[in-house]
Amino acid sequence: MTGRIDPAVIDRISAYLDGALPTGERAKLEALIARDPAVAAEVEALRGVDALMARGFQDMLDRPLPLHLARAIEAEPQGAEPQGAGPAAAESGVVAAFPHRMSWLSAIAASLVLVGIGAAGGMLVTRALAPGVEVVTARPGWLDDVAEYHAIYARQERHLVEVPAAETPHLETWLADMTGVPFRAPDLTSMGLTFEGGRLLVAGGKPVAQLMYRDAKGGVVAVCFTAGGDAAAGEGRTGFTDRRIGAFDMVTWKSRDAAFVVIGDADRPDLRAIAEAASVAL
Amino acid sequence: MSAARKLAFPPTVSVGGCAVDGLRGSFEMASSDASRFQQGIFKLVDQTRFRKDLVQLLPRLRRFALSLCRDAGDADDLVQMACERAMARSAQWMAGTRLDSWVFTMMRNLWLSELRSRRVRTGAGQVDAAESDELRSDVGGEEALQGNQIAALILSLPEGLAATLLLVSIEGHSYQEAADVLGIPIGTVMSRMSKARQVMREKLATVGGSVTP
Repeated sequence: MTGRIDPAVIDRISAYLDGALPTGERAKLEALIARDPAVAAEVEALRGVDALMARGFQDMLDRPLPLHLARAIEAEPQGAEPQGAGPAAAESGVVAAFPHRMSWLSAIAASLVLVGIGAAGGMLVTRALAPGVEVVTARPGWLDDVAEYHAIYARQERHLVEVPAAETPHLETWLADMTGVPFRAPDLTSMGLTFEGGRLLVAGGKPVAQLMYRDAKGGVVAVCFTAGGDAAAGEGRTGFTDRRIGAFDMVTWKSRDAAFVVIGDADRPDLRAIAEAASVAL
Repeated sequence: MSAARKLAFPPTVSVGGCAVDGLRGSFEMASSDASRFQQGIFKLVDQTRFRKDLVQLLPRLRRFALSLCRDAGDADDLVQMACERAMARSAQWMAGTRLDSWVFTMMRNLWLSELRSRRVRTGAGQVDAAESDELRSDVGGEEALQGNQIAALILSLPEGLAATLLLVSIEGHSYQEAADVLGIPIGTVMSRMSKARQVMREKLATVGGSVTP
């Protein structure tokens, strides 16, 4: 199969999957994908490779982290021990599980556990205890976190958002400040979506803005973004990349300054169109 | 500052006040540093936050180290050295930029100099990844591929490919950002990504992994 595709095209497909093709080349490749089944099959095959690789990288992230690594940070003499973290965690009752001196670092580890439990399946951070070993694992990219949040928040009838659409100007200022990404909340009524409001998330360790929309049937679609774009996008945007994480489909793209994702239920046929509309409006 | 204070955390994350504090540090650092400095908050606070953020990054730092060294012991040593260096140089970190990329770059520099000194010491390069024990996991069979089996395949890729893959596919770096971290031209990032996908596809096919999603 691969044999009959020009190696240069294969390289371009790879860059296309990474959203790294300039607009012109992207359009050309998309046209080629549309008319050449072999090229389309290659794209699909490489997407499959990507999905499997993501599982391998997830495994690396989930491996136990030896305590001495965390201690390396603790032991560094520079700066003083902060006050307060110890007692706060001590009250949580997690302390008893630690065989070690209760330090600010273990307090952080303990607080991370609480986040993991508190997120109720969101599993921002989880931790396992083995003798002498302390494990701190975080979810990988911000997209996985966005999916976890969506699983939690899209089900909230009354607490779908933190700041309602009625306070859009405040929401825009606040989220722009927190993420460092100036924006206008897109009007997606033409897509049958009502803007409900938004909130701030922490995904992949970074502040992420989450804008929530609901359709007539109650389906929830979120537009999320965070700082960190792609210089290659120039004044426009990179190509769209489709992803599926769990029960959700995503369409991602980047501008010069920010990374965006539209996320909704896996069976929605209109996600690309929504992404298109949102990318123009943002 | 006021924006940061206003931040109400999602109710599901509210178990234990310390949990909220633990995370709050990370986005104040990312987004409101300018205002924080204007308010004259002490350097000690910055240090504390910096360390907290570093601790939260640890699992990802270790994964990057693994993809660079392709050996678990080396990877742990590398993370430790990089964290020590990051703390010693925390004043040089530009608040508002990606802390992960900054430490990744440090790791790559440390690893390069380690490789150089090993070549001087032993006259040889690093242990061939294919010979390391960790990679001898028994892949194959009818069952669906396990994450650890795929991880072993990734770590057996030719030098440089695994780290590039990780940065672009998983850590969300653009080609330019990955090129900066790895100290290679952007064109090399592109060709490595393509090469890595093709080699992984072959490896997965040999061990019976289906490449259809």
